[in-house]
Amino acid sequence: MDEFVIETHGLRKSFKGQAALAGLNLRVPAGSIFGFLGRNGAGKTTTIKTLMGLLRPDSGDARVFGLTPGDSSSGILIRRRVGYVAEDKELYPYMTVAQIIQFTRGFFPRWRDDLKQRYVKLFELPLNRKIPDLSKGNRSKLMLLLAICRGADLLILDEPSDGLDPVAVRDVLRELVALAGSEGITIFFSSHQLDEVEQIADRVCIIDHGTAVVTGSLDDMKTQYQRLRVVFGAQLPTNIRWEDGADYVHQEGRMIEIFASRNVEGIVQQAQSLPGASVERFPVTLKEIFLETVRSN
Amino acid sequence: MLWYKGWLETRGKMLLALLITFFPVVMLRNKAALNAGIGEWAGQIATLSFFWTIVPLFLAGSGIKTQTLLAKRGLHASMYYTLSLPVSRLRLFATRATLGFIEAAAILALVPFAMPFLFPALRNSVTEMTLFEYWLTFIVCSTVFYSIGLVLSTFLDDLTQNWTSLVIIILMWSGAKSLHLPASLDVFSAVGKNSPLFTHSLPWAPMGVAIAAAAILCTTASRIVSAREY
Repeated sequence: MDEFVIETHGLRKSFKGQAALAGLNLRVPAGSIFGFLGRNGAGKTTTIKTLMGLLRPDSGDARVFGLTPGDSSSGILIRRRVGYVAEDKELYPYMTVAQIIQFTRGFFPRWRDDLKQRYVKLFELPLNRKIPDLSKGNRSKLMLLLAICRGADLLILDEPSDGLDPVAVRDVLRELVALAGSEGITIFFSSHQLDEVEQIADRVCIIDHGTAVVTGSLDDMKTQYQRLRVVFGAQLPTNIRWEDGADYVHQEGRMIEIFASRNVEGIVQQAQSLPGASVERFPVTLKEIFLETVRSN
Repeated sequence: MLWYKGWLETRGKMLLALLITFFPVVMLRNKAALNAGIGEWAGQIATLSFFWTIVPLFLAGSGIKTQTLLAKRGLHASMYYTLSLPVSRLRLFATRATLGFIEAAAILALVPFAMPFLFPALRNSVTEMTLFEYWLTFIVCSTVFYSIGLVLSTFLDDLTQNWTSLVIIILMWSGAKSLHLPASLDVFSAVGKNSPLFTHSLPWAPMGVAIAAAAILCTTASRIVSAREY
């Protein structure tokens, strides 16, 4: 299997002069659960559409399984191995659940009937109901079923839990983790639900203004990023020039809060060397990393 | 499977096209004058023929946006799902365009049967062969109108496509009338006053014009589908 199932180099795309992607570099390792985060309009859906061959980049290079999605023949080979859930979750309104499952099955020789049986039952999907009569949550579940049962090596999911209730979100996330573990499927998903991403992703990319501002393993990020609280017993020193890596410094009374994105040890040592200072270190959540990164960008 | 999808998508439109085809038959049924000569009906036949040329429009589709005519209109009309299938855009387009045209041809095949019923004078003046030639002329000439629908369906939703195509065809019709196009170029008169019903021969020149125009339009539509970003 390829080392990286998705690779982009300097990917650029503009719409009416407005840059949606401004040199995006991305590498998604095979077998990973990769969370793709960003604000509205950061370039997430544009990236996903480019990977699916729906958009063509202005410059740069996008590859999925080493193939170029924009080429007609490569695009077919890619789509044979990819399960895609689009942001809009729209399916044919003239089909029933059973009909669309049957229809989709015909295109994928590696279709997994065992998974289909499992998810129809787990998601409680009414097979004879027409798609417009399904709830938003059931439509999302059906989309996931149709993506997963293709026998895909890669799932590209644009806001997969959109419209799902908390119980369904839990079930879906659990299944995605199980799939990645048991089948070795790579999952590349965008989401606004940072706690969801934190629960299942092993790698994360935060995109802002069309470029990747943070990318890497979630565990490494949590080690690398820390929140420090420095409390001074006596007078607060003035004009402290904090070491590199102190991204956000907030002072309140005799207390200084620092959000550090790197060089935590250096900043801690600097704080401890200040007269009367005691330093506390706090782990950060993905939400904090996201908010600080996007704010400072 | 794409044919099956196409059929599910178009069956409601086919019913609508059938209603449009038979609406004038029902309306004019009792007005047919048994003893009138066919020449007296030329104007009505031309108008009816124009009316029937719109039938194929309802069945035109490029296979990317897949709305049913009366369904609740979605934002993207399931096109992302369609485009996630491991099928080339050209195949999506070709399957849907062919299916729509076959359905249109099948409906228009009923027209030659309706004509002698509407205009009894035809029973004495035309043979089955003439009626077949009339149908053939109708099918060939309507390819140009169908292809207009195809081009528009590459970027418009179904309902907008139907209305826009209709406006374009009406403009073409009135343009052909006011410009006094030569019969060799006029596809409207080829299915009307210059149709095999009156001339007893196939209007080869306008049929050729229709095929050439349809080929250009179909090529344009397929290129749009292949090149477009979604």
